[in-house]
Amino acid sequence: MFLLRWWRWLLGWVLWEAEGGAAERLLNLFTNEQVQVWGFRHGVGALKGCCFARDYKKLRPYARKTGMRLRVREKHGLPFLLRRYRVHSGIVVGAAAACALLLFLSGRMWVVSISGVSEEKAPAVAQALEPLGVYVGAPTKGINQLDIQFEALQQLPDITWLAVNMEGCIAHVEAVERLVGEPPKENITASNLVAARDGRIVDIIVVSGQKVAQVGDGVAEGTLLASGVVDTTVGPLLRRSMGIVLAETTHTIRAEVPLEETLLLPTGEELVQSDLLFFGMRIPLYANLPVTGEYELCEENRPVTLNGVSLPVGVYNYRYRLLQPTVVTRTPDEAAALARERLLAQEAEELATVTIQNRSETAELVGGTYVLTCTYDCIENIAKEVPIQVEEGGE
Amino acid sequence: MLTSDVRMEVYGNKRVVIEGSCSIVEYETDVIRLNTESGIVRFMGRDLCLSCLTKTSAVVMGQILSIEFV
Repeated sequence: MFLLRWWRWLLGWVLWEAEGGAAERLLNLFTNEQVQVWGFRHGVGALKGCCFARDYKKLRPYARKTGMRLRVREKHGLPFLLRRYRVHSGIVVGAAAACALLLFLSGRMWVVSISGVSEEKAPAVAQALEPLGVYVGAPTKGINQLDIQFEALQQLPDITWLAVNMEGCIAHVEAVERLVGEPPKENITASNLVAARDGRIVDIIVVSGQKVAQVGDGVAEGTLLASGVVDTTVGPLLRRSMGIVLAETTHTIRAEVPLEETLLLPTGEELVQSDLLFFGMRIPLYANLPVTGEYELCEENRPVTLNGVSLPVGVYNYRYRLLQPTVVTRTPDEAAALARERLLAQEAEELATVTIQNRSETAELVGGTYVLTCTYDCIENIAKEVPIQVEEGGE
Repeated sequence: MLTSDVRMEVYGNKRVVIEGSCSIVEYETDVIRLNTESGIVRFMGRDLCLSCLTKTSAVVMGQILSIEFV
């Protein structure tokens, strides 16, 4: 019964009413001419029934023959629905286009998610997989896991294992990085300890080798502190010298800040050019000419995200911060503050491993430049191991 | 054995299926008369209607009180 109703709705049917005349004769004419009608109701002076929309025109001559007035009371079905919305054909076209687009995009990769490798190596993995058919916008069918694994591992020596699994439109790439052990230590059999810089020795601890320098000695860079040639009762033997030699040393750090200089500073103007990202394609959204002059470029990728997943649709922005040469004039106080800032930064970098005993600063203006000089008295380990070259063979 | 007699299937007093060539003689809500090869058949009752009518069959529905061969 449902199938019959559905079929009638698909073809469209009408409820008609016939008044006057001979209803019985009209029905007999319908049956004789094999016009498909159903649902008869004979009311007061009127006969009602249903027929397919395409058959209604056939009823008219019979109704005229029997002297009845025929009219449509109700219309049902798909043809009437489509006719009602025929002026809105754009909706239908749009719906069809949307369905087609969705169908097409459902067979493409939307996201390539790489896991198991560090952030530095992920772009290399993505680049290696691109020619193998794993990239945003690639078809999801026809992916041969074994081939991809074999080819990708050939190009990625740092990766020991790789697999690509499809989950809907997301390609999950799982990889395992190769563990690299520490390089073997240089096989040093004999070495001397020499001074890495000038200083006065305050403490010397020699674990291996023969101590040469003494506490209180002033040494220059390269001076022998401990020898790897050890005198024994059986003769000189070669040893590897190891130890700590603490010495008073002097470091000097200098920071210079000109009172007037020309710098490239931002003008405050920013030019933004954007590309539309769509399944791996980049569609420029600008028609500007290339940026001239000095500028600072900042690129940012802004994909559309849904539930934490980046979709293959978004915007890629190129932000150009325009720069122009600007003469910067500083007061001596400003120059002093900047010089101190730079000095402290250098101190933190260069003297991180030494113990500062004393520091003395001098500041002076030399030819329009503020010069801040700081001298540090430090104590540090100046021992440096230098291998003894042994020539094999000979007498 | 082939016969030209009309065949009727009566389902309670609510529905009668008539198989065979028939035409309508009278069609009202309380009486329906059909001209069949076996003669005129009169259906008496209340709210009677012909839910289906073709050249070789008809279906009478409603509250059927009597069926008479006239």
